[in-house]
Amino acid sequence: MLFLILLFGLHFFFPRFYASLFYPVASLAWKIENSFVGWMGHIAKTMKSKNSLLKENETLVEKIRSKETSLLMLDTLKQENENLKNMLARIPEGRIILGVVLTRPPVSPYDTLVIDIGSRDGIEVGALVYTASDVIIGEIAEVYPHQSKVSLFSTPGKKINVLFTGSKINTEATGRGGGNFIANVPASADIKEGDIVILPNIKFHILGVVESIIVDSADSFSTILFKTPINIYDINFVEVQIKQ
Amino acid sequence: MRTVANIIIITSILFFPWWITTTILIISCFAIPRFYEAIFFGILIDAFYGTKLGIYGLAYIFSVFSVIIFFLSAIIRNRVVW
Repeated sequence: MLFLILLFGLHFFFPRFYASLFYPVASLAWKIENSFVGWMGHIAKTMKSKNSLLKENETLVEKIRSKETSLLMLDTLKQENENLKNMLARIPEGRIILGVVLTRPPVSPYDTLVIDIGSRDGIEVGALVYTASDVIIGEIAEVYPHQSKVSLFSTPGKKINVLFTGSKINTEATGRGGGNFIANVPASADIKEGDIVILPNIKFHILGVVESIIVDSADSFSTILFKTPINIYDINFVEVQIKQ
Repeated sequence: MRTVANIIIITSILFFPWWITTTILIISCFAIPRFYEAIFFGILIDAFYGTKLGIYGLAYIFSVFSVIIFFLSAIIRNRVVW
């Protein structure tokens, strides 16, 4: 019993002790699992019938065609935005480093990710974490020599300042786990389903997309439910912004 | 049985969703007498995945949960004929 109290005390007073001790072994196991899952996925893909692949290919070609025009416009606008920021000397500091996600929810009950880059790669606590280059998902919570723990913004109870791009309303949102958020805005605010939610920052990064709006006629506030545009359970790579 | 349970729980902590790990942990506490390891596994889950902020401001949830389950299972086991 004394031994267990000692174990618990060690964890309470030195919260990084066990992680530092066991992460190297766990990290190896997670890497093997990732490779195995990747290999199985590859096998499953090659087993698909030619017919279904042809159909999928046709659908994808159609989708790409329809998005090409809007993408061209988006690239032009992005370039223009960057040029304007450069002219006004508002260049975001730091550089981006790529990390492989070793483990993610639902394995992690705390809505955290463990990634394979750490202090040896220049990662620091508080660094912002992105995925798919434009989606911001969280920040670095703990750093070890070769691993880091990412706390997602959607961690249940975590509060964060957000901006609804459609109506330009700045409010506080609360994480609900699994990439979901909840926020209260005045009922008169012009927010629609599909509106983009960002962090109020000089660099434009998407935090979520409005999924549902709950309006109560007796309440002067509406409840907005929004979600990260990517599936948190499927993230394989993240980008971490580090100082130069 | 104890060794098998330990291996399954460690595998589950690393690869399976947390609710599966929790279920296995509870079953093990009831099936194996004085399953002290449960407390260590609770601490390990918190160390691997937890942060200072925890969930809704509560950190060390699994450590506390495993201690509760350990003592609860011991009390119930003493009062129930298996």
